[in-house]
Amino acid sequence: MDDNQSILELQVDQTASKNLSEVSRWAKFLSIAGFVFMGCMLILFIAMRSQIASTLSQVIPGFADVNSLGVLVAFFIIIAGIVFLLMYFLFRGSILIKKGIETKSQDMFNNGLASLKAYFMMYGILAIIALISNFVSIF
Amino acid sequence: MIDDWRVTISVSKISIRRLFWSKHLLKQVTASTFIETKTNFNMEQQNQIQDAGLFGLSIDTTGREHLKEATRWARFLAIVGFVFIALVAIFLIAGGSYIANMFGRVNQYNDLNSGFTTGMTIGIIIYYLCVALLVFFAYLFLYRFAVNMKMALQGNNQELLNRSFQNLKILYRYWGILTIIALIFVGLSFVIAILGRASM
Repeated sequence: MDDNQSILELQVDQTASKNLSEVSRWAKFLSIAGFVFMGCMLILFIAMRSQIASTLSQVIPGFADVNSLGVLVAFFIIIAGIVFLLMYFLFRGSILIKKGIETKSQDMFNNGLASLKAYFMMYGILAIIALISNFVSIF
Repeated sequence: MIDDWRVTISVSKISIRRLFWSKHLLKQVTASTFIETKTNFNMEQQNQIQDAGLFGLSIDTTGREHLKEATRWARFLAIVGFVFIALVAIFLIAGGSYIANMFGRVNQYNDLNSGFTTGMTIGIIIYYLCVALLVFFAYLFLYRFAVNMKMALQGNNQELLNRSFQNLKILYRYWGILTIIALIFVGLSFVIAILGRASM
């Protein structure tokens, strides 16, 4: 079997396609849960923004002026954008892989894999940023 | 009369059987999250060569590049995760006295006189160790996905490719189930909060 396979390309056979459709199902669920969670956070933030600002102004002395709320909003929007992009890649990947398997379309399948790659890549870059910021805060 | 008896007996038999099966199914579902063993491989390996022609999809050069890149990042993430978990575990186990000290300092500012006891500190440490263990499994599946995929792409090995996808499946299923459990807890806490408000 190994001799046969080394000449041929790797196949997405029955086992692999079964596994991949399960992957896409759970990944879709996770990404939708992520979207909903983010939406809830956004609503909570908008509803409680004055309270958050007043709490932060107690902790950080120079927080009281008007600009700082703008900074807070911008910071939150950046974080929400990052999470949204991450979840979007996961969602797109899961849908494309599933459709690719169902319709046996190689292009769609490859695009799904590309989305999965983008998802892992973005996660990795975020991890690197988090590591660097941790090291900076230690020293 | 006898027929009636027979009917009731058979109905009760069916309900018992149904109960058994539902229990059995539950056990199977919980077990299958962790034990995705190789039992299927031998059976399906024989079919693979015949199936390969029927399924049009393959891992071509484009897909291979994507998977290689994804694998690289997944492996990096898994290793970072392992190191992070190890650090957390070391901190929790070795720094127990430090944590207790920290809670002691919190107690100083606590007017309510309901401070942290030693038992509570140990409980919190064990809780976080359990969380670390849960996260460790997720990174283990991610690492297995990455390593198997890398070897499959290098050696053009179909079995390793399938095992890699299987680990990816387990990874996402694991996160999904953890998410569902977390959502249930969130829902419960909402219900308890609303009930608490109502009773006040």
